[in-house]
Amino acid sequence: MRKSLIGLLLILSMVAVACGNSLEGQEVIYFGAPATDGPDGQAIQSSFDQFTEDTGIIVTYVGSENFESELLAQIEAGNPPNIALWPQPGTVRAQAEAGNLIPLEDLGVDLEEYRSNFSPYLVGLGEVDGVPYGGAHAVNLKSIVWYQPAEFDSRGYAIPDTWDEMIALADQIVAEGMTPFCFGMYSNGATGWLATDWMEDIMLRTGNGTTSYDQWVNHEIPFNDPIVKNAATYLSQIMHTDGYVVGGSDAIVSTFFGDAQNPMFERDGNGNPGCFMHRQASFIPGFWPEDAKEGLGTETTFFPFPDMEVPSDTVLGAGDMWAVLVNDEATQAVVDFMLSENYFDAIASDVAGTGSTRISAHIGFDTSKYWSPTTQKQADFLKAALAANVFRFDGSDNMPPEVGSGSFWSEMTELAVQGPGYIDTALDTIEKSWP
Amino acid sequence: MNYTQKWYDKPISKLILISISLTWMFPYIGFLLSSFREPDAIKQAAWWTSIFSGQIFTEFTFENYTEILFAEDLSRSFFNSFAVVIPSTIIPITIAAFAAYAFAFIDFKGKDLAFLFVIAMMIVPLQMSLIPLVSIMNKGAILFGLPIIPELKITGTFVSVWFAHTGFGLPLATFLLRDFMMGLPRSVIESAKIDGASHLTTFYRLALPLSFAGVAAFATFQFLWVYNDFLVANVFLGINPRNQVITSHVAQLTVGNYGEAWHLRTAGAVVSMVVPLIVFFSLQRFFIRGLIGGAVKG
Repeated sequence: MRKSLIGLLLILSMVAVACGNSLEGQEVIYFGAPATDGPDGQAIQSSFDQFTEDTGIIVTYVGSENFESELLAQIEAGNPPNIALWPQPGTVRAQAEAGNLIPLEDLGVDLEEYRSNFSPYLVGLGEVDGVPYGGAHAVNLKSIVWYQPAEFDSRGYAIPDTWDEMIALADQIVAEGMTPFCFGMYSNGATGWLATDWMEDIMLRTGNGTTSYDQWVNHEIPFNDPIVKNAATYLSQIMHTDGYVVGGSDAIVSTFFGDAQNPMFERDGNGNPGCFMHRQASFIPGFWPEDAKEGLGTETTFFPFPDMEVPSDTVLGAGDMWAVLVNDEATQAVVDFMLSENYFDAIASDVAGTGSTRISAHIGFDTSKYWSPTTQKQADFLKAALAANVFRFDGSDNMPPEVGSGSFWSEMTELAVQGPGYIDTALDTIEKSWP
Repeated sequence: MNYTQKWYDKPISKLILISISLTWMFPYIGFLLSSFREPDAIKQAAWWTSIFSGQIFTEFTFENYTEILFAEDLSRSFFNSFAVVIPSTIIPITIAAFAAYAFAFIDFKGKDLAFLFVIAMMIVPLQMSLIPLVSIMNKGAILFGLPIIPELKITGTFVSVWFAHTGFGLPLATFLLRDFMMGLPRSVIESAKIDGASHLTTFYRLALPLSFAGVAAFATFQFLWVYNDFLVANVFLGINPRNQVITSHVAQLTVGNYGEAWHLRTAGAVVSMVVPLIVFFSLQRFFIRGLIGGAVKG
């Protein structure tokens, strides 16, 4: 009797195994730079909640400050994560060339569909010899200037549509005894990236617009070309005109970029803010003080970077990109999900409750799903730019590392310190360092 | 009164010593205070300004600690840490004690050369050997077509961390224990030999019990170093959170998004210091005696 019962149980369990979803309980490790328990990490993890419920595949997001070096160690250890999320597409290409990544095609991704959903430009950033390795993830918007509408209105300032209007406004603010710009670019080992962002925004709007921008990024024109020099002169105008920047130009390199906007939220004895305009990417509200965060979209919002010599709708942005290191069925299912329209639902509607302001790179993503009206507005901008192919990726991220995260950063920092007389030396030095 | 003042009894020396200690403690006081301050307060004013303005009392909070101490899976990370630390302390001590006895009391050919080799190993920087070691543990090593080390594929397991810590700890352990054993009265060992005791008996009955202070000193040292270690654990255990040790868990909890969460970082530092402090203060007697014993008598 007992024997037959055990036999029956055995058969039953075998049937259960055979019928059950074979992917049930499989683990997929997803490794990236935003820390696991930080706002972005929690948001990324939350985007898989529904997926895990539906498929039984357990996706664990792990984030680390030392993402890049830890990942390299784990690749060497033969113990890599299934999927990794890089902050720069350039690294995805480098890893693909090193043979550590699996092409999307081998994962069963329909490339046609992928390209049309995410724009050929974005997909191209993760390609090596025409083979896509990277999956576009989130994008952010850099071509924006943060300001406080109430402060503008009460003083009768208009949002500047052109560079000249912005300069005129800045002069007016200085004449009225206040400071127009917040500008801080200290960022530990990465100090200088903010100035490179400014340069890129200016480059997109001067010379021949996107054409000369692409030439510049790909080194088809030298770094000390007159077009680049012209752009640097514009930037120097902001950095080095007396009274334009909070704390004077000496404070630019010593102010942490995350704290740079704080003067805008403070009021002096006359009720005037410490600054009126701050050009910084869409992620900066994450660094604001708590009470300022609450005023996002109402008290503090943004206007597009003003037009310059070449009027255009060009948008400068950046974004992260994932790629697969370990190919198995569960990972393929996850990849399929991450390229789908619903992937960003949880992040956009802030299920994790962390106030994530990440924006999906999927052109078909319904922007009304974003919890914050500010993010929604930014996403609309980005979507239009992606669809019109005038979205351009942060150029310094696409230059060789010796320049993009080397001499370009350090020389721009030096330029901020030395003043306009240093422009020629800076550009010549960067040009010489191009490998 | 026939009392000769030692140099360190002079008031001026005391003053210097106290000021050195205070300087040394300054950053610690800073992060201890900051760990009780509200996030925005830390970013707005330094802790000394907030002491002088008296603001420190209004911005006092336990929030930072509750956020870390009640984090999910923190107990698992504690458990993992002990699963790494205890074997990583016992294994090298066991091996090193035997080796030290041999170096101290057995005469064999090439002893000095062998010992020199052990000492030389102490010079190799751990950071440099990490990646080669991890790749050997994964893929094995092949020299001239001969597999010297098999493909173990043990990376990402606790065994690999035990191996790594044993390897990195052995040279110092052997050196310390050998010096300590050399300091034992030779006559005791010799009389044991005359009485017909084998090396094994001498080791277990005499050498090991007599060098207890040395063993305890190294155990303390190794325990603290392994417990505090972040790099080796991270490289060998991999990134799966199930294997996470306390140092990497605290590091992860305290980052915020991209490293802006200073309030958590300071509290996390205090939390992770608790165990090492307990271990150090309960064993410091042995620690100091053991290190000095080896150094002076060696």
